[in-house]
Amino acid sequence: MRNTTLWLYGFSLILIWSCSNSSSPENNSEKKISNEETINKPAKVKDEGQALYLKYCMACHQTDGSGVPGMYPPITNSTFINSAKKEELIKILLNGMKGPIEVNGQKYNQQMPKQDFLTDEQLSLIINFVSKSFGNNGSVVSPSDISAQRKTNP
Amino acid sequence: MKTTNSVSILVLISLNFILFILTGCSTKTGLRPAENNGGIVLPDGFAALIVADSLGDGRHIVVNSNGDIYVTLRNLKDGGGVVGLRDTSGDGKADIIKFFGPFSGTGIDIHNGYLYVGADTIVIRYKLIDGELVPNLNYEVIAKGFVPQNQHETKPITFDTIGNMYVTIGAPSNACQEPDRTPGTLGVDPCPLLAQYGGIWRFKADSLNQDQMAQGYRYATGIRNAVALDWNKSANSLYALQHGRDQLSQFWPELYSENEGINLPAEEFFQVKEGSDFGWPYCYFDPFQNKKVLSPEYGGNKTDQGRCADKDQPIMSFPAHIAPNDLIFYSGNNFPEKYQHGAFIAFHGSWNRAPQQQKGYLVAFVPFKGELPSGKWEIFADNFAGSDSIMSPRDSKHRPCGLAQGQDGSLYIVDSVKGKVWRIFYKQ
Repeated sequence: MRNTTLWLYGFSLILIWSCSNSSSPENNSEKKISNEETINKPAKVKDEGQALYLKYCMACHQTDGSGVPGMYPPITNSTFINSAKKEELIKILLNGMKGPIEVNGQKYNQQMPKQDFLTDEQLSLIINFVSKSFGNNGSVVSPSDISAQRKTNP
Repeated sequence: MKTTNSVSILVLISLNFILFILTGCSTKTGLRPAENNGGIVLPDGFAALIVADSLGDGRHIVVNSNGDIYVTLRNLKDGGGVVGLRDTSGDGKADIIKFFGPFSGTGIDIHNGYLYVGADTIVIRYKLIDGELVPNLNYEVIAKGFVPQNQHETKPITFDTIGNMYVTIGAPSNACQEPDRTPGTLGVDPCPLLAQYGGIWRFKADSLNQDQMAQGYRYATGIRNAVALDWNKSANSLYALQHGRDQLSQFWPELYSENEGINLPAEEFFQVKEGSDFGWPYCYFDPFQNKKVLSPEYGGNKTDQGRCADKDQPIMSFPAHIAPNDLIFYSGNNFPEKYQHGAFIAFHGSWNRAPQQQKGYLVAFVPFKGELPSGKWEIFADNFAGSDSIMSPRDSKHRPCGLAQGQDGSLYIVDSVKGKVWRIFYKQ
């Protein structure tokens, strides 16, 4: 059963990558990325996803994802990230977050600014980096997931 | 005769015992330092004992004239937003600990027999009861109408000597951008937040139900957030320290290098006078140029002063992002002469220095003469973090957040991570 799940998971990853290949390239991404380059391969997520994380997320969530006690929640070993649907992850980046939450028994109530100024590809790289780093194993997304959600985002 | 002698001896023993209770236990000689001073590093001649530990997320602290200690908590613990500590054995360690009252928060002070608590949206007071640690929990509302905030929401309080209470109302914003904290976004000009936030408001200390905007008076403005706030009785003036703005390099990467974002702007120490304007959000203090410069959100280019040239200046600056969270002016007899009338400042330590090491989990001392510092600042108590290389604030073992002076001149420090309380005294 476990093997099947793993296999299915691996297969879905491949599917997502292949979907990403077919999605329209981002012209306005900050770093020039050739159209032929496969989007969101693990190596790319690790390098470019991490670079984007360090640039746009690290100030609050810290280099190691541990956040700031009493202010910004940790995103390490996150049961939320591991169980969230990809739509939920995308929504947080597009809209930011507001309102009290509790993580590992600690309360947080600061506002997360929305990150919708980033491109679809940049957002997907950030989500996929965080989903597969800091002890997490959450959903991965493609740029087309993000562009689709942008259209329906309130 | 024999009986008389026995009675005399009994009387003498009793007298000695009473004298011991009255003097021996209450003087500093009765206090025994904790092993290794409870993990902190102090100047020569000073020692520390642990009053209490694991109280919760401690914020500010006050010591009553009878020695009872009160600490605010950021979140309720055991149903209480304040914890009261009493030492009944004279060793300085709390042996009665009571959590009480529905208001958690930061501000706390004692004034005219009342315990005042600054919760995030209200200031209330409890009447202290003679002999009792826990006050009368039928509270009175002193100041209200504070809008709930998602940042800089804490309400530190202090009192002058003529019946006024001062409350910081921090700005619910980093630099008045709309939307807040986004790269390249300009600040709203003029910043509308300043009407209701970003300053210090004055209220009557003994009037009930004062609304911020109706009865409150904006005493000073242009202050992003000042958790460290104290009335200096010897100078008869208000002082505060500002948390400087965050993320210059993240929001303005073309203008500021990562290193500049880490080391700018200074944390500023203000003497706050009626009508002071310290310039937030239009200005920040650059300690390397030793001047206020125009914020990039308002067209600044790192050097232009623009409208900042005539803003009120800090009386001292501290390294960026180290988060001054409490201030007291020392007036006790226990510490040596150089500490008289000087300022102790609790720095909570940084989060906005990543990816470099986080700094500033310490208590600093600033000597004062009259209204102004008379020398450079120095580290008074250090090693709260438990390590020299803290990469994320969560790695810091303790973070000093609140300060108080005891009747005997001891300095009390409360930590926000575990709720540990140190009492520092001079050994001589």
